[in-house]
Amino acid sequence: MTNAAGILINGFFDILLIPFRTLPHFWGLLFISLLSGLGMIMVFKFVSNQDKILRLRRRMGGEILGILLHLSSPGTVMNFAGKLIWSNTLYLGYLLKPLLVIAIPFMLVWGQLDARYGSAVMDESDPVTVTVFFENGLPLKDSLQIGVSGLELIPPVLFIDTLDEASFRILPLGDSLPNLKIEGVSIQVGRTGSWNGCRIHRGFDSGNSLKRLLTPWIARVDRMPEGPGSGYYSLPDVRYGVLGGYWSWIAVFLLFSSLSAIAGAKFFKVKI
Amino acid sequence: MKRRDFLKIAALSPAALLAMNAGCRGTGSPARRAIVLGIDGMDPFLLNSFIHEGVMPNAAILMASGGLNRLGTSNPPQSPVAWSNFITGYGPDVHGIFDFIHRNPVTRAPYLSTSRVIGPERIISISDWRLPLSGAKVELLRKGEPFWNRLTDEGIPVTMVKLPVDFPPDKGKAKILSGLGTPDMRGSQGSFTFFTDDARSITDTTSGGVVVAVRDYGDNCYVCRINGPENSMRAGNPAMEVEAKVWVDRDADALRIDIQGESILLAAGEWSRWVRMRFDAIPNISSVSAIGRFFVKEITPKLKLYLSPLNIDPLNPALPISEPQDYSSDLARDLGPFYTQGFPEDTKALSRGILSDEEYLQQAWIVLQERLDLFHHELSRFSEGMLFFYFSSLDLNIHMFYRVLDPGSPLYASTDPRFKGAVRELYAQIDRVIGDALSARDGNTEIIVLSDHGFAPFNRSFNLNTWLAYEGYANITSSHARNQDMFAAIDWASTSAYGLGLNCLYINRSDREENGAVPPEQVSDLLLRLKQDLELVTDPATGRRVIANAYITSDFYPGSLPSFAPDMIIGYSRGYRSSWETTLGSYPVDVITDNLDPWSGTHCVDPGVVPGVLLSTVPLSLPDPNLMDMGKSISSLFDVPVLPPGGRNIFRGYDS
Amino acid sequence: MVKLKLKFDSATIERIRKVSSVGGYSSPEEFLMHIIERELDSMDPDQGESEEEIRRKMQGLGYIE
Repeated sequence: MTNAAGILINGFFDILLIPFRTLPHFWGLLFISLLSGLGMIMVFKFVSNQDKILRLRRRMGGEILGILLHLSSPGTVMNFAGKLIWSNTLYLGYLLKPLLVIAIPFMLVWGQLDARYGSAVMDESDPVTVTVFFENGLPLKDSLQIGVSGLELIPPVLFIDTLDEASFRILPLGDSLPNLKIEGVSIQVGRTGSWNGCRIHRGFDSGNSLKRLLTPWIARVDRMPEGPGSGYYSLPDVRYGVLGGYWSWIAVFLLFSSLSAIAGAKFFKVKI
Repeated sequence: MKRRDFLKIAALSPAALLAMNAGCRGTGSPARRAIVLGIDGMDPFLLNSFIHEGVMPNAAILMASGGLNRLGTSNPPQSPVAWSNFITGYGPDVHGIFDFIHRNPVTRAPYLSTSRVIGPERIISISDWRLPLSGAKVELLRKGEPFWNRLTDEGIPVTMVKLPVDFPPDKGKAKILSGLGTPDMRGSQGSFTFFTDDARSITDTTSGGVVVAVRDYGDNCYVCRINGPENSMRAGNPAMEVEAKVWVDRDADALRIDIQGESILLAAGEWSRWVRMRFDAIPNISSVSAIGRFFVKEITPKLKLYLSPLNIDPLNPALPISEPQDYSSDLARDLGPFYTQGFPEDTKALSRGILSDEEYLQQAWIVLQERLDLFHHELSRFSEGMLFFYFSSLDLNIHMFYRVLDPGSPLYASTDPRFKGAVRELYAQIDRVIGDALSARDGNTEIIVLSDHGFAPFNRSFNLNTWLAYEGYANITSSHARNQDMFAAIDWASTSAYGLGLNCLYINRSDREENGAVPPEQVSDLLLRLKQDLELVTDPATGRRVIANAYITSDFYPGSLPSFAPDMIIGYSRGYRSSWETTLGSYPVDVITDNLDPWSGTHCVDPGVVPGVLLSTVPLSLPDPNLMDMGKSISSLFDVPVLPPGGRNIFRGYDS
Repeated sequence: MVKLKLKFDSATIERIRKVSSVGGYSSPEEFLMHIIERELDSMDPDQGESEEEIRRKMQGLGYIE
């Protein structure tokens, strides 16, 4: 079930980003950010009680005015201030429902953007360190079987007994999609497609919980008794040049989704 | 060398014909492009010899065009002084840089001459926290107007890459990436960190870095705490810290460094790529970014893990290292991170035995490779105006490996013969750079290769301060403190002169220094006596004169001098330099000793001993070119109505 | 000169005497004065740049020790 939902969500974003496949990463990130801001403000509009919010905002405006007009009368100011605090509490209550509704798509979008725009693709000149965790204890050093496809394995293999972890380095080779096989467990590494904006795996695990929908950068593997249960690849972060600075995808997303939400609220007259 | 000889050498290369043909445009018409290569420390004698050996065919082509000229250097011939002469067209009396090290004329406290950091003026203190209400400032102490302002004023694009003595970079229309003088993230000129559990390596007095004792408690893990910049937002400015866990597998002779969510696997003998580190001043609110490279020197039997000085991250610089500010970020985005500190080759790690000759050379080649990438990147997009590109590799590596060139070096016999070709290989690499510039040449491009000074051996050390004490010019009252720096051994009230920095001597004037002993009316006589005495000093081991010239500054630079200017500049003879101990005010027992540091080459001698080099596609009209002439001469290649005021125009066909 | 009394146990006094004589100090008092002044100079922010600070900034400059 989780698997099918994951495939659907990943597929949906893959289709959404088709026009941006040959463009630099930034444009896809910008598009999703703007779309998310707009989408969230529209969800807010239809889920929230716009009339109640409008009335409450007017009341709060009146209460602020009341405070300003009666500054010389402490009792009246206190009275209006108390009312204003209550109105604020009510306002937060009105926001609760739409925020809860928005939270799920927001987390899905967050995970998808992190998977697609958070990490750099593997570079042929820069080895990536892979660390795998063996839940049932490390295999013997000489018996560990690592197979690679589309990759070059760079020795040595490092064993950390105290953590039940083994680490090694890989380099991508050519255009084929990289894959690892450790003790019979087949593992996708790095990019999942050859286009810009595809998901980039930077880890794997064999669990099947709902959390997987929110972490699409983790490849799912089949559990094998002797094989590794989880692992991660140390891929470098990506920075995006915007407005004279170099920003993480999170900063770009928050900036542009907020801008589009504000613009959407203005255009569609959404009361927030 | 006769002109016929170098024409013969030049004719060996087919590229010579192409390049010389390209140079056949009529002189006098303005150039569209000028490529200026600033090769710190390129020596005319070594260059000449390598050209004759056929190591430098591209330099030979240039020599055929404009000759191999000795370029007059600054006095003293130190890089910050010399490059300031180049930038401004004037000497230290105008640009104010007399030495790497200046001193406060009142307190005699030494400081780096090229820049200083001014802390925030207003700070709010809340408990342990300090919140600055204004930012800290970095100030360039070099004065004078850069010559390229005359070009940019006329709309001619100027790019200066790794420009020395320009940190923070001059504000203006030129694109600048600052070079020599740029500090690391700890505010030093380069401070490595060495993690080890080898008791013999652990010391708290290692100059040029820190040795940190770490321990494996049986789980094959070392916790390494990396000290970053000071946290000015906390009382007492404690260093910000990043923790790295280093997991070792002794069977595999490899380790894994886990740092801030990143893992780096390295085998013994390997260098890491640049690792970005974030130091939090206020967690999740304010942080600075730094970059460092690890080197695994040894895992078994003892861990020896070197971390380069923490460099300012060019992608997200904590201090201004480029103009415009996003220039360094753009370069880092295109090419990846690169060394930003002014002295990228870690000479101190070699001097202190942290890196071996071989390991140091590996690091030096990483630096050079980065420079080449930067150079090719800029050259490929250079279409108009002036491109200046600076290479530090010859200077710092010849400082470290002059011992393989000079049989007179006390370390000549003990240096591994494998490294005897290192200097030749470096010159050959620089020749390939010259070749790349020649290949980029069209009919309207001039190429100029220049160095700020040449090189001389540093075989014998002269303890200037000790000599002053023995000759009665200084009074040592605390003999137990004579090996301490900052003049701890001295009684100022009975001391008339002191040496500080590499070539500078100061009179302890009663009208200037705290507790000064020499009344102003006695200064002239004292200087004359000192000059006479210093120029007579001979080395008992060789019978040679130690000091070629002792220059009285006010005679050499007539006119008004700043209060921090030295009273005398010491021009050492070839083979000699001020000792390590004397530069910061120690008084060791012996006056002249062998220099046993791998830092075996020097240029901090008499300027006549170490002229620089000038190679150019433009023939010269004057026989004695000087660094101070270069700004005006390069500007004359372009169509500018007013040339910079300093220096002379030395280019034939362009003299207006 | 204002006097300030410091109390040490006898073992420490013995060590101070020993170290000061090995270090070439004329008296244990001179030795103590010297190390206290040195620490004050390095720790007191009002004394301008401390010698430690000066050394730190120059660290890595290959030309000097």
